[in-house]
Amino acid sequence: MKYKDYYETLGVSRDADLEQIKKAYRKLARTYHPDMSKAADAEARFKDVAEAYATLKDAGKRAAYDELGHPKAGAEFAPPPQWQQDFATGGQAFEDLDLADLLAAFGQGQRRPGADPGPAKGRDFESAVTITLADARKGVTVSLGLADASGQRTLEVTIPPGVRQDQKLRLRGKGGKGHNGGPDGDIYLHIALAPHAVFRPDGLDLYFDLALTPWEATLGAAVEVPTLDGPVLLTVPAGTRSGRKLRLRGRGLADGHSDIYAIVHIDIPANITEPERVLYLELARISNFNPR
Amino acid sequence: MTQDCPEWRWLDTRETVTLTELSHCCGLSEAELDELVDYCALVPLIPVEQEPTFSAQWVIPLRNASKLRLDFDLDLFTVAILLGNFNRIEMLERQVHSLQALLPQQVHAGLKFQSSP
Repeated sequence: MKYKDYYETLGVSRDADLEQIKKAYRKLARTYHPDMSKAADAEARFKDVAEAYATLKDAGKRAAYDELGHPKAGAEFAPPPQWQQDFATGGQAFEDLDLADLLAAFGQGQRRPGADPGPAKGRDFESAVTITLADARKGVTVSLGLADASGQRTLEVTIPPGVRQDQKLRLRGKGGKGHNGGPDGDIYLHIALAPHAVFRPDGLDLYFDLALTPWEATLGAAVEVPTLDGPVLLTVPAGTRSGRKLRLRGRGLADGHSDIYAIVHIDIPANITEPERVLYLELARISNFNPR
Repeated sequence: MTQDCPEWRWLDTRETVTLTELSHCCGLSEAELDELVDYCALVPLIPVEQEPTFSAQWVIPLRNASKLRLDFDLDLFTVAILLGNFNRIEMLERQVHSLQALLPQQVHAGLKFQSSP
Protein backbone atom coordinates (compact mmCIF):
# COMPACT_ATOMS: atom_id res chain seq x y z
CA MET A 1 0.00 0.00 0.00
CA LYS A 2 1.34 3.42 -0.96
CA TYR A 3 1.60 6.16 1.61
CA LYS A 4 0.09 9.57 0.81
CA ASP A 5 1.29 12.65 2.65
CA TYR A 6 -1.95 14.49 3.29
CA TYR A 7 -0.19 17.33 5.11
CA GLU A 8 2.03 17.89 2.09
CA THR A 9 -1.00 17.74 -0.23
CA LEU A 10 -2.68 20.55 1.70
CA GLY A 11 0.60 22.41 2.27
CA VAL A 12 0.26 22.53 6.06
CA SER A 13 2.57 21.47 8.88
CA ARG A 14 1.87 18.26 10.80
CA ASP A 15 0.86 20.24 13.88
CA ALA A 16 -1.54 22.53 11.97
CA ASP A 17 -4.81 23.19 13.77
CA LEU A 18 -8.24 22.64 12.21
CA GLU A 19 -8.64 26.27 11.18
CA GLN A 20 -5.32 26.22 9.29
CA ILE A 21 -6.28 22.93 7.61
CA LYS A 22 -9.69 24.28 6.63
CA LYS A 23 -8.19 27.49 5.26
CA ALA A 24 -5.59 25.59 3.22
CA TYR A 25 -8.28 23.25 1.85
CA ARG A 26 -10.61 26.06 0.80
CA LYS A 27 -7.80 27.87 -0.96
CA LEU A 28 -6.77 24.75 -2.88
CA ALA A 29 -10.39 23.75 -3.58
CA ARG A 30 -10.99 27.20 -5.06
CA THR A 31 -7.88 26.73 -7.25
CA TYR A 32 -8.53 23.20 -8.49
CA HIS A 33 -12.32 22.80 -8.45
CA PRO A 34 -13.28 21.48 -11.92
CA ASP A 35 -15.96 24.19 -12.24
CA MET A 36 -13.35 26.89 -11.80
CA SER A 37 -10.07 25.57 -13.18
CA LYS A 38 -9.40 24.82 -16.82
CA ALA A 39 -6.17 22.94 -16.04
CA ALA A 40 -6.06 19.40 -17.43
CA ASP A 41 -5.16 17.86 -14.08
CA ALA A 42 -7.56 20.03 -12.04
CA GLU A 43 -10.03 17.24 -11.32
CA ALA A 44 -7.32 14.83 -10.14
CA ARG A 45 -5.72 17.54 -8.01
CA PHE A 46 -9.09 18.42 -6.52
CA LYS A 47 -9.73 14.76 -5.65
CA ASP A 48 -6.33 14.51 -3.92
CA VAL A 49 -6.98 17.67 -1.95
CA ALA A 50 -10.51 16.55 -0.99
CA GLU A 51 -9.18 13.14 0.09
CA ALA A 52 -6.54 14.76 2.28
CA TYR A 53 -9.05 17.14 3.84
CA ALA A 54 -11.60 14.36 4.48
CA THR A 55 -9.03 12.69 6.72
CA LEU A 56 -7.38 15.66 8.39
CA LYS A 57 -10.59 17.50 9.33
CA ASP A 58 -11.81 14.49 11.30
CA ALA A 59 -10.02 14.08 14.65
CA GLY A 60 -10.44 10.28 14.70
CA LYS A 61 -9.24 9.74 11.14
CA ARG A 62 -6.38 12.19 11.63
CA ALA A 63 -5.22 10.34 14.77
CA ALA A 64 -5.34 7.00 12.92
CA TYR A 65 -3.42 8.53 10.01
CA ASP A 66 -0.81 10.07 12.31
CA GLU A 67 -0.28 6.61 13.88
CA LEU A 68 1.17 5.50 10.55
CA GLY A 69 4.20 7.71 11.19
CA HIS A 70 5.79 9.76 8.48
CA PRO A 71 7.00 7.65 5.55
CA LYS A 72 7.92 9.40 2.30
CA ALA A 73 4.94 10.15 0.02
CA GLY A 74 4.52 7.29 -2.47
CA ALA A 75 6.59 4.89 -0.35
CA GLU A 76 5.21 1.40 0.31
CA PHE A 77 4.07 0.89 3.89
CA ALA A 78 2.24 -1.70 5.95
CA PRO A 79 -0.85 -0.57 7.87
CA PRO A 80 -1.10 -1.69 11.52
CA PRO A 81 -2.13 -5.38 11.89
CA GLN A 82 -5.32 -4.34 13.71
CA TRP A 83 -6.56 -2.54 10.59
CA GLN A 84 -6.03 -5.65 8.48
CA GLN A 85 -7.85 -7.77 11.07
CA ASP A 86 -10.83 -5.41 11.13
CA PHE A 87 -11.17 -5.33 7.37
CA ALA A 88 -10.81 -9.10 7.09
CA THR A 89 -14.03 -9.49 9.11
CA GLY A 90 -15.83 -7.29 6.60
CA GLY A 91 -15.10 -9.72 3.78
CA GLN A 92 -13.26 -7.16 1.66
CA ALA A 93 -9.92 -7.93 0.04
CA PHE A 94 -7.48 -5.88 2.05
CA GLU A 95 -4.96 -5.79 -0.79
CA ASP A 96 -7.49 -4.04 -3.04
CA LEU A 97 -7.92 -1.13 -0.64
CA ASP A 98 -5.92 2.06 -0.61
CA LEU A 99 -5.21 4.48 2.20
CA ALA A 100 -8.32 6.56 1.45
CA ASP A 101 -10.57 3.47 1.68
CA LEU A 102 -9.11 2.53 5.03
CA LEU A 103 -9.41 5.99 6.52
CA ALA A 104 -12.87 6.51 5.09
CA ALA A 105 -14.00 3.60 7.27
CA PHE A 106 -13.18 5.54 10.41
CA GLY A 107 -16.47 7.37 10.31
CA GLN A 108 -16.35 9.53 13.45
CA GLY A 109 -16.72 6.48 15.64
CA GLN A 110 -19.98 5.46 13.94
CA ARG A 111 -18.39 2.66 12.00
CA ARG A 112 -15.38 0.50 12.58
CA PRO A 113 -13.39 -0.85 9.70
CA GLY A 114 -15.05 -4.01 8.46
CA ALA A 115 -18.44 -3.19 9.92
CA ASP A 116 -21.55 -3.50 7.72
CA PRO A 117 -21.81 -0.19 5.86
CA GLY A 118 -25.64 -0.47 5.59
CA PRO A 119 -27.88 0.35 2.63
CA ALA A 120 -26.63 3.09 0.33
CA LYS A 121 -28.39 4.81 -2.56
CA GLY A 122 -26.89 4.27 -6.02
CA ARG A 123 -25.08 7.04 -7.83
CA ASP A 124 -27.10 9.86 -9.37
CA PHE A 125 -26.24 10.93 -12.91
CA GLU A 126 -26.55 14.37 -14.44
CA SER A 127 -27.12 14.45 -18.17
CA ALA A 128 -28.05 17.08 -20.75
CA VAL A 129 -29.84 16.74 -24.05
CA THR A 130 -30.49 19.24 -26.82
CA ILE A 131 -33.63 18.77 -28.90
CA THR A 132 -35.18 20.65 -31.81
CA LEU A 133 -38.23 22.88 -31.41
CA ALA A 134 -40.26 20.45 -33.52
CA ASP A 135 -39.32 17.59 -31.15
CA ALA A 136 -40.12 19.78 -28.16
CA ARG A 137 -43.62 20.30 -29.56
CA LYS A 138 -44.26 16.67 -30.55
CA GLY A 139 -42.23 14.84 -27.90
CA VAL A 140 -39.24 12.65 -28.71
CA THR A 141 -37.33 9.58 -27.53
CA VAL A 142 -33.61 10.19 -26.94
CA SER A 143 -30.77 7.80 -26.13
CA LEU A 144 -28.59 8.66 -23.15
CA GLY A 145 -25.14 7.10 -22.89
CA LEU A 146 -24.26 6.34 -19.27
CA ALA A 147 -21.07 4.94 -17.79
CA ASP A 148 -20.93 3.49 -14.30
CA ALA A 149 -19.38 0.60 -12.40
CA SER A 150 -21.48 -1.89 -14.39
CA GLY A 151 -20.02 -0.48 -17.63
CA GLN A 152 -21.36 1.47 -20.56
CA ARG A 153 -25.12 1.43 -21.13
CA THR A 154 -27.70 3.26 -23.18
CA LEU A 155 -31.00 4.40 -21.79
CA GLU A 156 -33.97 5.35 -23.97
CA VAL A 157 -35.86 8.28 -22.49
CA THR A 158 -39.16 9.58 -23.80
CA ILE A 159 -39.42 13.35 -23.47
CA PRO A 160 -43.09 14.31 -23.43
CA PRO A 161 -44.57 16.97 -25.76
CA GLY A 162 -44.57 20.61 -24.68
CA VAL A 163 -41.04 21.10 -23.34
CA ARG A 164 -39.46 24.49 -22.75
CA GLN A 165 -35.84 25.65 -22.59
CA ASP A 166 -33.90 24.65 -19.43
CA GLN A 167 -36.51 22.25 -18.12
CA LYS A 168 -35.32 19.43 -15.90
CA LEU A 169 -36.56 15.88 -15.59
CA ARG A 170 -35.86 13.38 -12.88
CA LEU A 171 -35.71 9.76 -14.05
CA ARG A 172 -36.27 7.91 -10.85
CA GLY A 173 -34.30 4.74 -10.19
CA LYS A 174 -32.51 4.87 -13.57
CA GLY A 175 -29.11 5.82 -12.17
CA GLY A 176 -26.46 3.63 -10.53
CA LYS A 177 -27.41 0.44 -8.66
CA GLY A 178 -28.00 0.78 -4.93
CA HIS A 179 -25.68 -0.99 -2.45
CA ASN A 180 -26.69 -3.37 0.32
CA GLY A 181 -30.41 -3.05 -0.43
CA GLY A 182 -30.33 0.72 -0.89
CA PRO A 183 -32.43 2.32 -3.65
CA ASP A 184 -31.07 2.81 -7.18
CA GLY A 185 -29.88 6.31 -8.04
CA ASP A 186 -31.66 8.76 -10.32
CA ILE A 187 -30.87 10.54 -13.55
CA TYR A 188 -31.32 14.30 -13.71
CA LEU A 189 -31.87 15.33 -17.31
CA HIS A 190 -31.39 18.96 -18.36
CA ILE A 191 -33.20 19.86 -21.57
CA ALA A 192 -31.98 22.54 -23.95
CA LEU A 193 -33.60 23.66 -27.19
CA ALA A 194 -31.45 23.89 -30.30
CA PRO A 195 -31.42 27.32 -31.96
CA HIS A 196 -33.95 27.58 -34.79
CA ALA A 197 -33.48 29.53 -38.01
CA VAL A 198 -36.83 31.28 -37.66
CA PHE A 199 -38.31 30.91 -34.18
CA ARG A 200 -37.07 32.20 -30.82
CA PRO A 201 -38.64 30.48 -27.80
CA ASP A 202 -39.85 32.29 -24.69
CA GLY A 203 -41.23 29.75 -22.27
CA LEU A 204 -43.69 27.74 -24.33
CA ASP A 205 -44.35 30.57 -26.80
CA LEU A 206 -42.41 31.14 -30.01
CA TYR A 207 -41.51 34.45 -31.62
CA PHE A 208 -40.42 35.30 -35.14
CA ASP A 209 -39.93 38.39 -37.30
CA LEU A 210 -42.60 39.14 -39.88
CA ALA A 211 -41.46 41.55 -42.57
CA LEU A 212 -44.28 43.48 -44.24
CA THR A 213 -44.30 45.89 -47.15
CA PRO A 214 -45.53 49.42 -46.34
CA TRP A 215 -48.71 48.78 -48.33
CA GLU A 216 -49.39 45.41 -46.60
CA ALA A 217 -49.04 47.11 -43.22
CA THR A 218 -51.21 50.03 -44.26
CA LEU A 219 -53.94 48.22 -46.16
CA GLY A 220 -53.88 44.85 -44.40
CA ALA A 221 -53.13 41.50 -46.03
CA ALA A 222 -53.26 37.74 -45.71
CA VAL A 223 -49.66 36.49 -45.63
CA GLU A 224 -48.22 32.99 -45.48
CA VAL A 225 -46.19 32.47 -42.29
CA PRO A 226 -44.27 29.45 -40.95
CA THR A 227 -45.25 27.29 -37.98
CA LEU A 228 -43.66 24.09 -36.65
CA ASP A 229 -46.45 22.14 -38.39
CA GLY A 230 -46.11 23.88 -41.76
CA PRO A 231 -47.13 27.23 -43.24
CA VAL A 232 -50.46 28.89 -42.43
CA LEU A 233 -52.20 32.09 -43.55
CA LEU A 234 -52.10 35.00 -41.12
CA THR A 235 -54.42 37.95 -41.47
CA VAL A 236 -52.58 41.22 -40.99
CA PRO A 237 -55.05 43.94 -39.99
CA ALA A 238 -55.00 47.26 -41.82
CA GLY A 239 -52.91 49.89 -40.05
CA THR A 240 -50.45 47.41 -38.50
CA ARG A 241 -47.40 49.21 -37.09
CA SER A 242 -43.82 48.03 -36.62
CA GLY A 243 -43.28 46.11 -33.37
CA ARG A 244 -46.89 44.90 -33.17
CA LYS A 245 -47.31 41.26 -32.06
CA LEU A 246 -49.69 39.15 -34.13
CA ARG A 247 -50.72 35.90 -32.47
CA LEU A 248 -51.16 32.43 -33.94
CA ARG A 249 -53.12 30.78 -31.17
CA GLY A 250 -52.16 27.30 -29.94
CA ARG A 251 -49.18 26.89 -32.30
CA GLY A 252 -46.40 27.17 -29.70
CA LEU A 253 -44.41 24.39 -28.04
CA ALA A 254 -47.37 23.07 -26.03
CA ASP A 255 -50.01 22.19 -28.60
CA GLY A 256 -53.14 24.24 -27.93
CA HIS A 257 -51.73 25.87 -24.79
CA SER A 258 -49.08 28.17 -26.17
CA ASP A 259 -48.83 30.54 -29.10
CA ILE A 260 -46.63 31.79 -31.91
CA TYR A 261 -46.12 35.55 -32.07
CA ALA A 262 -45.14 37.33 -35.28
CA ILE A 263 -43.27 40.55 -34.49
CA VAL A 264 -44.01 42.93 -37.33
CA HIS A 265 -41.40 45.10 -38.92
CA ILE A 266 -41.98 47.10 -42.03
CA ASP A 267 -39.38 46.75 -44.75
CA ILE A 268 -38.79 48.86 -47.80
CA PRO A 269 -37.29 47.87 -51.16
CA ALA A 270 -33.56 48.48 -51.48
CA ASN A 271 -34.01 49.65 -55.08
CA ILE A 272 -37.11 51.10 -56.69
CA THR A 273 -38.11 51.50 -60.29
CA GLU A 274 -38.92 54.87 -61.81
CA PRO A 275 -42.73 54.29 -61.75
CA GLU A 276 -42.46 53.32 -58.07
CA ARG A 277 -40.46 56.49 -57.35
CA VAL A 278 -43.17 58.55 -59.06
CA LEU A 279 -45.85 56.91 -56.93
CA TYR A 280 -43.83 57.51 -53.71
CA LEU A 281 -43.40 61.16 -54.67
CA GLU A 282 -47.12 61.42 -55.28
CA LEU A 283 -47.81 59.79 -51.90
CA ALA A 284 -45.40 62.20 -50.21
CA ARG A 285 -47.18 65.12 -51.86
CA ILE A 286 -50.71 64.19 -50.93
CA SER A 287 -50.15 62.54 -47.51
CA ASN A 288 -50.41 64.63 -44.35
CA PHE A 289 -48.95 61.81 -42.19
CA ASN A 290 -46.03 62.92 -39.99
CA PRO A 291 -44.71 60.34 -37.50
CA ARG A 292 -42.30 62.78 -35.75
CA MET B 1 -44.73 13.53 -5.92
CA THR B 2 -47.81 12.62 -7.90
CA GLN B 3 -48.02 8.97 -8.87
CA ASP B 4 -49.48 9.18 -12.38
CA CYS B 5 -46.20 8.57 -14.25
CA PRO B 6 -43.64 6.16 -12.82
CA GLU B 7 -40.79 6.81 -15.28
CA TRP B 8 -40.05 10.53 -15.01
CA ARG B 9 -41.03 13.64 -13.10
CA TRP B 10 -40.76 17.28 -14.10
CA LEU B 11 -38.60 19.25 -11.73
CA ASP B 12 -40.70 22.39 -11.86
CA THR B 13 -43.81 23.93 -10.40
CA ARG B 14 -45.98 21.18 -11.90
CA GLU B 15 -44.64 18.65 -9.42
CA THR B 16 -44.20 18.59 -5.67
CA VAL B 17 -41.79 16.72 -3.42
CA THR B 18 -42.05 15.83 0.24
CA LEU B 19 -39.42 16.81 2.77
CA THR B 20 -38.16 13.21 2.86
CA GLU B 21 -37.89 13.01 -0.90
CA LEU B 22 -36.17 16.38 -1.16
CA SER B 23 -33.69 15.16 1.44
CA HIS B 24 -32.95 12.03 -0.65
CA CYS B 25 -32.61 14.05 -3.86
CA CYS B 26 -30.30 16.70 -2.47
CA GLY B 27 -28.13 14.90 0.05
CA LEU B 28 -29.19 17.16 2.90
CA SER B 29 -30.77 15.83 6.07
CA GLU B 30 -34.35 16.74 6.94
CA ALA B 31 -33.05 18.76 9.90
CA GLU B 32 -30.79 20.72 7.54
CA LEU B 33 -33.71 21.36 5.19
CA ASP B 34 -35.76 22.56 8.18
CA GLU B 35 -32.94 24.96 9.00
CA LEU B 36 -32.99 26.29 5.42
CA VAL B 37 -36.74 26.85 5.83
CA ASP B 38 -35.98 28.74 9.08
CA TYR B 39 -33.55 30.95 7.12
CA CYS B 40 -36.39 31.54 4.58
CA ALA B 41 -34.05 30.20 1.87
CA LEU B 42 -36.39 27.29 1.18
CA VAL B 43 -40.14 27.84 1.13
CA PRO B 44 -42.63 24.99 1.56
CA LEU B 45 -45.81 25.09 -0.49
CA ILE B 46 -48.07 24.83 2.55
CA PRO B 47 -46.37 25.16 5.93
CA VAL B 48 -48.54 22.56 7.62
CA GLU B 49 -48.17 20.58 10.82
CA GLN B 50 -47.71 17.36 8.82
CA GLU B 51 -44.77 16.71 6.50
CA PRO B 52 -44.30 19.86 4.39
CA THR B 53 -44.20 19.67 0.60
CA PHE B 54 -42.10 21.74 -1.77
CA SER B 55 -42.20 22.67 -5.43
CA ALA B 56 -39.94 20.30 -7.37
CA GLN B 57 -38.19 23.35 -8.85
CA TRP B 58 -36.14 23.45 -5.61
CA VAL B 59 -34.43 20.13 -6.44
CA ILE B 60 -31.81 21.31 -8.94
CA PRO B 61 -30.66 24.50 -7.13
CA LEU B 62 -30.56 22.55 -3.85
CA ARG B 63 -28.50 19.77 -5.43
CA ASN B 64 -26.08 22.33 -6.88
CA ALA B 65 -25.77 24.16 -3.56
CA SER B 66 -25.35 20.87 -1.70
CA LYS B 67 -22.56 19.79 -4.09
CA LEU B 68 -20.71 23.06 -3.55
CA ARG B 69 -21.19 22.62 0.18
CA LEU B 70 -19.41 19.27 0.04
CA ASP B 71 -16.69 20.43 -2.35
CA PHE B 72 -15.83 23.58 -0.39
CA ASP B 73 -16.86 22.48 3.10
CA LEU B 74 -19.37 25.32 3.37
CA ASP B 75 -21.70 25.85 6.29
CA LEU B 76 -25.46 25.67 5.96
CA PHE B 77 -25.98 29.42 6.09
CA THR B 78 -23.75 29.77 3.03
CA VAL B 79 -25.93 27.13 1.31
CA ALA B 80 -28.93 29.34 2.10
CA ILE B 81 -27.25 32.33 0.44
CA LEU B 82 -26.19 30.21 -2.56
CA LEU B 83 -29.73 28.98 -2.97
CA GLY B 84 -31.09 32.52 -3.12
CA ASN B 85 -28.47 33.48 -5.69
CA PHE B 86 -29.08 30.38 -7.85
CA ASN B 87 -32.79 31.16 -7.97
CA ARG B 88 -32.06 34.78 -8.83
CA ILE B 89 -29.69 33.74 -11.64
CA GLU B 90 -32.32 31.41 -13.07
CA MET B 91 -34.98 34.12 -12.92
CA LEU B 92 -32.65 36.61 -14.64
CA GLU B 93 -31.73 34.05 -17.31
CA ARG B 94 -35.42 33.57 -18.02
CA GLN B 95 -35.90 37.32 -18.33
CA VAL B 96 -32.96 37.55 -20.73
CA HIS B 97 -34.44 34.75 -22.87
CA SER B 98 -37.80 36.54 -22.91
CA LEU B 99 -36.23 39.81 -23.99
CA GLN B 100 -34.09 38.03 -26.60
CA ALA B 101 -37.21 36.46 -28.07
CA LEU B 102 -38.62 39.95 -28.66
CA LEU B 103 -35.49 41.23 -30.38
CA PRO B 104 -35.35 41.22 -34.17
CA GLN B 105 -33.46 38.19 -35.56
CA GLN B 106 -30.38 40.13 -36.70
CA VAL B 107 -29.91 41.72 -33.26
CA HIS B 108 -30.60 38.41 -31.52
CA ALA B 109 -28.02 36.59 -33.67
CA GLY B 110 -25.35 39.06 -32.59
CA LEU B 111 -25.84 38.29 -28.89
CA LYS B 112 -23.68 35.60 -27.37
CA PHE B 113 -25.61 34.94 -24.16
CA GLN B 114 -26.20 31.25 -23.46
CA SER B 115 -27.74 29.93 -20.28
CA SER B 116 -25.77 27.30 -18.39
CA PRO B 117 -27.28 23.80 -18.32
